[in-house]
Amino acid sequence: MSDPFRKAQPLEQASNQYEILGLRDNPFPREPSLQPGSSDPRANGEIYNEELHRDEQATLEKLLIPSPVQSNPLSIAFLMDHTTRRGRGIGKSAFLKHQRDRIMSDFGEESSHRRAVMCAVHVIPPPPPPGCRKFWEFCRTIVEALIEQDVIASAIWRLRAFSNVIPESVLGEVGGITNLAESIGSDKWLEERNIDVHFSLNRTVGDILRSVGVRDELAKILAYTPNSIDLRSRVSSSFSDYFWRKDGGRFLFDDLVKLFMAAQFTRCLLFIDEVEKMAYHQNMTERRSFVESLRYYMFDADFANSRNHFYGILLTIHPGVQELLSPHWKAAGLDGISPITQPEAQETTVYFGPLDRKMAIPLVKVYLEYYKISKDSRAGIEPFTEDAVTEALVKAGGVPRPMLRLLYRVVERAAELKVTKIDKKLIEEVYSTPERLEAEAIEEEETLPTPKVDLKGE
Amino acid sequence: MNMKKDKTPTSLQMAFASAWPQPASRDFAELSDPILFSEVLEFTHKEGSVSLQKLTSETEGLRKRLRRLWVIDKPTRTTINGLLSAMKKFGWLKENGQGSYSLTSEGFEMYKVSSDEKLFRRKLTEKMHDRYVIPGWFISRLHSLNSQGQGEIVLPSPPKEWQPTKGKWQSSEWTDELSEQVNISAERAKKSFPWALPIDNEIWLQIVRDSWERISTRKQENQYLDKIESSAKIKPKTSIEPEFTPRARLTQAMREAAINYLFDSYLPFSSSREIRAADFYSNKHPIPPRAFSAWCPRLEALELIFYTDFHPLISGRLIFPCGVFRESANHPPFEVISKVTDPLGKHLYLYQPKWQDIRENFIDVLLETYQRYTRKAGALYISLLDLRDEVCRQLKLSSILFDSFLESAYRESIQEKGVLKNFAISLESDIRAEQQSGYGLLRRPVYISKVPHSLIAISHKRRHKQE
Repeated sequence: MSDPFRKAQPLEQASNQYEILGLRDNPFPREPSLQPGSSDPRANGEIYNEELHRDEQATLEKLLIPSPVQSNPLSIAFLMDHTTRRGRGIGKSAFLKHQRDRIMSDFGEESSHRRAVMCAVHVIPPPPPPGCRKFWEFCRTIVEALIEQDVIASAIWRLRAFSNVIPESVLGEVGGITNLAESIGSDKWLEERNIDVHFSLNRTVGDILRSVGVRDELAKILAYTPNSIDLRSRVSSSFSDYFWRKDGGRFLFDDLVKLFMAAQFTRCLLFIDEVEKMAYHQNMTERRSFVESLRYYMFDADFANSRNHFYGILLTIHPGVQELLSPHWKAAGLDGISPITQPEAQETTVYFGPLDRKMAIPLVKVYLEYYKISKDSRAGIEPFTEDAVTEALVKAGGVPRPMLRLLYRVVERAAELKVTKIDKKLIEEVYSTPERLEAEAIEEEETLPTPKVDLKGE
Repeated sequence: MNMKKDKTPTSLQMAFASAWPQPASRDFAELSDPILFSEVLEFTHKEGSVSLQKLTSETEGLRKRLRRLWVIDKPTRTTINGLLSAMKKFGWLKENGQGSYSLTSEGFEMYKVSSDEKLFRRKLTEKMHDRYVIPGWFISRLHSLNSQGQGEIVLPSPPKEWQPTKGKWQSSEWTDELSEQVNISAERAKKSFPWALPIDNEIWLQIVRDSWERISTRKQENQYLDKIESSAKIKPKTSIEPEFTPRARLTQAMREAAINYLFDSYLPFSSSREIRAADFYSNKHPIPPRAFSAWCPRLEALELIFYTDFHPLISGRLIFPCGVFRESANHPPFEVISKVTDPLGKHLYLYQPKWQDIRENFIDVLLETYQRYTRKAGALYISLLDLRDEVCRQLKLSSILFDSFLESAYRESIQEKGVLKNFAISLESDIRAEQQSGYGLLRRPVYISKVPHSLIAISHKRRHKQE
């Protein structure tokens, strides 16, 4: 009879087939996509080469983050990625997650040169259903991400600290930002230090929120739900679709901004990934209405956000989306504020280009370093030759994800063949596959340029 | 008796001297993909024999393929029949009875070269010219029609902005509005390239009108069966008074008029229809409209011509040859197709430059055209297919060569070589809305590493700060 309480046994350690290549394991992810909760460093973003996108990071800071040299950052900017419908994987999600983590690790102290106290959230719109076609669905998705990523909770925790209910000596025990959840965010931790959480602390926080204009019922929910798990459950049970349709915009762009500002945050960055998941599913009317709403809540409405330019939105678009949104952007008058079309868009866009050879080699190196057996050979890209990496880059169209996937397959093949060196020929052999499907009229009277080749000439 | 010979050629002798040989066959099947031929050769070699049943079998038959962006799960029986018939006539297959075919010795030789796609295309060109004569004749005719413009020809369509309301099917009335559109189409084509429509405006108006009236009197069902690509919207209706779209009918009328006039056996601007001006000693039209629709993609696949229905500056089809009949030429950039000769004995030379020879010119035209299009579009990314069409036009390249040269340029930009070290080329495989349905599916994509691409951005490369 089988044991009903049986636990899975770990796999027996097989002999290392990659040893011949000088590796502990295949260094490249089999399914290269960001999986934040995974324990595998190849998938959870742990293996990340910050140098790779140093220029993009600098541009992002210049556009959206207040600093001593930039007192007036943009409200809406774009990250133009080079991903494709069937070949996405330029590394933008890893980049955005890294930027979010970077800001939340010190509340923007380093990136703003102490000029601002910031929070940030990385938002990935869900595909339909439920989708994100309507603006209220967009607001709900952002709020869910703010909860999920502890951004709202961080504001509550800071508000607790500023409430004057917790003595300085207790605040001194908190330590760094990473300890907030377990210390000031924990009712039990506070009660152990003789803080009257329910009748004094939470009530005071609620009063502060009401005093800055947060609506009564929302102030109560926020003040009495200081951890993300409870807040998520409270929001999903209390906030109906009707609430989001009617009040979702005001909740995100007014109530929550008042909360953040009361917690002395000066800016919140919303990194909206994969805008195509919204734009491709919208019809013409929905797209127009969405863009009009974005303008209203970001600039025109008499809400805390528009008065204080609090949110900075980074919309991740790619070429097809630029084409789709452009006419609506112009019609809503947003093109004059945050241009989406060239050449003005150069001033509002972080361009996330494909890799070149100089970038590909450090990327490959950072994965290899993690799995090399010998520390002596850590500096190089062995067992790969430089030509092999270049060839993989060309085959992948300069996009990291297909390149990493190809390299994964190449390492597997090399281990199978028991070769010690991976060269261009092996890349070509592994890549070799049959032909695959991945993959406005300008009415103008104009004389065409004369051909540059004369077939009848010499 | 010693009679003195008169050395002055008679008109009949002149006719035969300048005429092309009579084609052995005038039939055509819509087989534009040379890979179909090589797959059947491979299949027959592997299996020993081949038949219609085997090739259309779900499990053993021909592979799923892409015709442009149109996925063809399996070829139709008509296609396979046409293929087997053509290959039998080429002498590559012999019939063993009961619909079974096996390779001939010539077929076996072709099988051996089929792994070399380029060589196979050349052999197929020679075979097709030998049987149909159209490949060589068509190139020669394009050059005759526009000798100043290296054979560039435009077959106009109605202006894109003209979207008239529907009319009653039987209505053949010719209106001032139609005349206006016909004139605009001709003027635009002539403005874009002065010699690309070698038809006098009055004649153009008259032949389009004649064609319109001829189409209007056809029975609706025949009209449906006779549809050509550009008028695919016409569908038979069951209502008592069926309707038609004037745009589709005028498109068809213009296409038929242009083909019948420009590609007749007689050169259109010869002074009179004397026998000496005819290319074929026959009253039959060498390439009527339906055959024209089949031959253009086929000749394009063989790298003999380039054509596009989507050139952003021209409303209609732009065609130009990628080769020329000459006495001699250097190799490279020209590659002789020795078995394809014109009536004067000149050989067909295809323009096939090597990358190292055209590199500079290609990059210049690519960058200059990209700059022009991106300024107009106001977008960083532009249609790679539009860019391809114009670069190929200026450099007289086949689309296959363009793919290869763009891949080389792309590789150099990644390797930071030469001029391109300062440019980042981004290629996208997004499928644009106009490519997802209708005729757009049949527009040839640009293949890089065998993957279809449709968007391109070229930007100055960003530099790391410490550099």
